[in-house]
Amino acid sequence: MNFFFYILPVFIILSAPLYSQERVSAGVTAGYHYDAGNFSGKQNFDGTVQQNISAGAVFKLDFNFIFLRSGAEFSYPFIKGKYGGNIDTTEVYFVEVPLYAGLNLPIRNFGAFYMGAGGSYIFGSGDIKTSSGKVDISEQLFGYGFIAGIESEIHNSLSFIMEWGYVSAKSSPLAVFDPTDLYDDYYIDFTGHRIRAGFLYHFSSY
Amino acid sequence: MHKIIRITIFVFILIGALPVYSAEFASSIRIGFAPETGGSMHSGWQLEKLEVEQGIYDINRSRDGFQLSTIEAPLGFSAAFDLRLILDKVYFKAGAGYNRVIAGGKGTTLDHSGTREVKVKYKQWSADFPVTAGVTLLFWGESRISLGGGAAFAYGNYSNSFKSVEPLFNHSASFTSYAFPLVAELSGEVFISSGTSLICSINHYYGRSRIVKDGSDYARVDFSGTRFTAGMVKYFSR
Repeated sequence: MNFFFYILPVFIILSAPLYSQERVSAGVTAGYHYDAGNFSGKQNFDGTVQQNISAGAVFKLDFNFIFLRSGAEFSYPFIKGKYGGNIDTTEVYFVEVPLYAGLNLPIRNFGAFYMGAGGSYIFGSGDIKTSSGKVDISEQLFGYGFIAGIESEIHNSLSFIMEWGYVSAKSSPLAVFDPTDLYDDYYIDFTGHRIRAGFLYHFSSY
Repeated sequence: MHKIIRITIFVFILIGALPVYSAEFASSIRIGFAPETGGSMHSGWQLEKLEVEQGIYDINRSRDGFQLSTIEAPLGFSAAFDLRLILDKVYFKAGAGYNRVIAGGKGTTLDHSGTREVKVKYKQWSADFPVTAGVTLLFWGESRISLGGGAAFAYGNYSNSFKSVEPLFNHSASFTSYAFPLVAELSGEVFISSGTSLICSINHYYGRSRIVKDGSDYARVDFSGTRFTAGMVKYFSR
């Protein structure tokens, strides 16, 4: 993973000047992440999934038909997760820094559709409450992912955006699922789908 | 196998019955990646000897005093080729794909007693032949968005190996099988000339093989997963 962790951003940034007609945009989004922690994908789950809402900043560079998308998003657990067994509740906050590149599909008189791939750096915090105490979460990970979104122009320099994203990222084990075990085997799974909507301001246009 | 042949014949008859003179033919070649290739990588031996119920999803165990490394979900390399017939706003497509684990899927964990280290390695490759149909929208001759679904014939191999100083935890197995996974796809194209476009595609596969045995071990080959590919499209009659 280290290769991709360092090389991917360098590759994307260095490749950017190859394309002309750039457009610089920045904006804000609000989002939703159902089943943050991916409980439903795990066995022995017998509780309530965690649901996160998010607020983020978007930074997007369009080089004609190629785009780069970055920003930062804070994801907050508005419904805590209850897993069952030794894991009482999970309260996982995280900051996600996306770094994606892909194709920008201009649609005249409407805006654009875009889809791309890359990954997200995830800085996770929060805690897991177990029957034997509280375990703090402090994780830094990189997860591969995809995004697809729509930009709908509401003004020459302002667009409404709607975006879907998928990221695959799991932590190493942090807590004990079965109190009789001598090892940690419960991990935080940041994998899942994210939906975002917001506004994008175009500082410069084609 | 017979099922996919019947579906393929049906699709081609359908295509032949349509007004082909108004059609566009296109071919694309793409490469990309697939996170979490191979699904859970579960097998019977892991359950019986290591008490791992969900393969790679719960193989990782950590404890102070051991030299352990996280077994990360495998990352797959994907390549795809397809031929597409476009009739106004509908398309029919047949192609071939290849997927292989190139990173992740290996590390060191503990046995179920938490006292012995076990080195783990998961690998998988697969080839598939999807047949899909869907809706395609062309915008001003400049860009195209397509959404569709179908099924594929997929054939592949999943293998695992476990090594430990304790002979009880030395094991390897290999499982080869096929399945007919369902396929959903979304793609976007930008035309860089009248007959050539750049394409990005997200394809989701859902399907596993029947249970396959290798000695006393047993598993399914899981073709499920999402793949992102990008490449070029050549239009032959545009």
